[in-house]
Amino acid sequence: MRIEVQTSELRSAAARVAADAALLESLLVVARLDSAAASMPGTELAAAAHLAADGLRAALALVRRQMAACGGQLDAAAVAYELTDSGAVTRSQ
Amino acid sequence: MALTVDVVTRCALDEVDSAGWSLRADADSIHRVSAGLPCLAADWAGVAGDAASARVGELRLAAQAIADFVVACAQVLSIAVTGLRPARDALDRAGRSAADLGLGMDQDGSVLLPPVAPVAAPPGDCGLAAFELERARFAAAAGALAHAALAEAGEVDFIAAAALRRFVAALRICTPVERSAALAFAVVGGSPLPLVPRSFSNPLDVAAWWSVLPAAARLLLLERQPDQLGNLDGMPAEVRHAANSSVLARELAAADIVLAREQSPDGLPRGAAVAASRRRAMLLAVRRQLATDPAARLLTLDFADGGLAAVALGDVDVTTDVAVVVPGLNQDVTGDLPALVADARSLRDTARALERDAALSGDIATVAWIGYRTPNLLTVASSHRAQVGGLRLASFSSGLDASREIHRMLQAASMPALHLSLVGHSYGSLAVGYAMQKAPPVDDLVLLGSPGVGVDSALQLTGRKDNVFVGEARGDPVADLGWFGRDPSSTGFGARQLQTDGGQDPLTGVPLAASYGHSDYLTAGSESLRNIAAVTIDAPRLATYSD
Repeated sequence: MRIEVQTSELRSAAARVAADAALLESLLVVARLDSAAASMPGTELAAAAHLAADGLRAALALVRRQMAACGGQLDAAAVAYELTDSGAVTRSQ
Repeated sequence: MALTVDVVTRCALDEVDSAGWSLRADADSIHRVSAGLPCLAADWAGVAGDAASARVGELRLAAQAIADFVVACAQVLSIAVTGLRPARDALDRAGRSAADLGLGMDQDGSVLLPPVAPVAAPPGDCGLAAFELERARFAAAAGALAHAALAEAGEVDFIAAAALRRFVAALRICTPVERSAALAFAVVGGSPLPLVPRSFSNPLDVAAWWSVLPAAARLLLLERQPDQLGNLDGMPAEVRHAANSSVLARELAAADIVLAREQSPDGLPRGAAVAASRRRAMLLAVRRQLATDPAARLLTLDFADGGLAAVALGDVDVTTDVAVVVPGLNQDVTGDLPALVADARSLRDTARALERDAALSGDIATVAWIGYRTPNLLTVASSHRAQVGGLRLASFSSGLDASREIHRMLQAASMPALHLSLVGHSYGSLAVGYAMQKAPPVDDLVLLGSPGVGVDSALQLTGRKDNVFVGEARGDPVADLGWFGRDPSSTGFGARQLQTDGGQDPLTGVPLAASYGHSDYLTAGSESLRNIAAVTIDAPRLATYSD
């Protein structure tokens, strides 16, 4: 089996995915929905907005975790390839 | 869940709106994250590379779905703000108006009049009774407005909340394509057309309902359901005109198409061709009236009862005074609308001239109203058509007042209340009499050549004697018939008797013509017309009397 990989690019991709995960973490999107709900106390819409905020919180957390994990795995793969070879790797198995 | 006044008025809609815009910006950031996730295929070939590419692709779709979800939430918040704002503003206005008059508002929007007035009449008012009357009118308008605002707010709240719940459900769907479709459905499904009130609903409720609808919903209704808006009493005149004009153009085109088929080889059944031809003639008669006077507004266009129409000259929602001219025997839209509009125009011109001569402020709009099926010689002895006409006239009159009251409350509190007169001629005066049994907010009645109005005294019509006026010309055989109750021109009836014999204008000295016979009351230059005009501009002191 033939594997071709640019480990520098792999590291860069890992860093990018991790940074994106952090960016998602920094967004106030859930807080904004909660804030909108708090601005309309007593309405059905407020209850639904809280529900949407909960759903969004869960979905964002899941994606963030998966992105962080993916970034970590990419980085780990790059390290593994570098231990096997240095720089650009072209291996045949 | 029924919303309360406090819940709606305490909604911080600017903050909700601001949250919506911020959510859109957040969604853009998430979109950028999604689009910016690396594409690994070029740098990493092999099994592990393929697996990593697939994984990043899944993350990209997941981020995309979240961005779509956030955009959808922002859309719902914007729609909700757009829908709730007119309702909240209307509630604010209704509550303030009620408070200004010393009235409270319940949480369900009801405005209750206390049995004894605890506040003094404001300076310059003509008295406590007038103040109480004004207060009762305002209370009714404020209550209707508040109820409509709460109903609309509740509808918007329900729809927006349901849409958000659908989004949450869609977010849980795993397949990206299905999730995208579910989100799209949730957005579309969240914006149904508002439900239009039924014909002959309470005009005040109609006026209040329309005033709290968001502008986009109004335009959508006007475009898609003009038939349901044009004849709805309580709607603003401009909306009625726009809706009826749209129906007029559409029906004329439809009639032309039907009649064109008559020329084709397979032809048309004779009945269909006759009906289309009649309808076309009626529509053309109406269109001609609109084309000849830019001030003309089509307030009614109805194909029921052989065709009904009401044409206003002037803006009935704004002018100080409005007079509705109600015709009698054998009047139909196709043949008689032009003459009735001409009468309405003469009345308006004369009234405006009188206002100038007497240095009075204000303006008048007049309405040529063929809003009921008038009788022919075979049916004129029965009061049935007048009873039906009376119901419609009462609703129409209440609609004019309701539209004005809500307009005053929301936009122009300094505008005076509407001064509304009904001018009934011949059998039309009987329709006016039946209309008054429904107690519409009418200020003055003018009964011309009347064969009776269904009651025996002026007091039974309006509860007063000083606002019922009668005209009887020499040589009018109908005016003394007394077919439908006591002759209104008899002394015992108690109405004021307008002079119709001719003379000089007391203000200008210009000679005024006498009226003669049954159809001469609204003739330009006559004493009769001048006196009717004086009543319709709320200046009966300027009229001349024979009693």
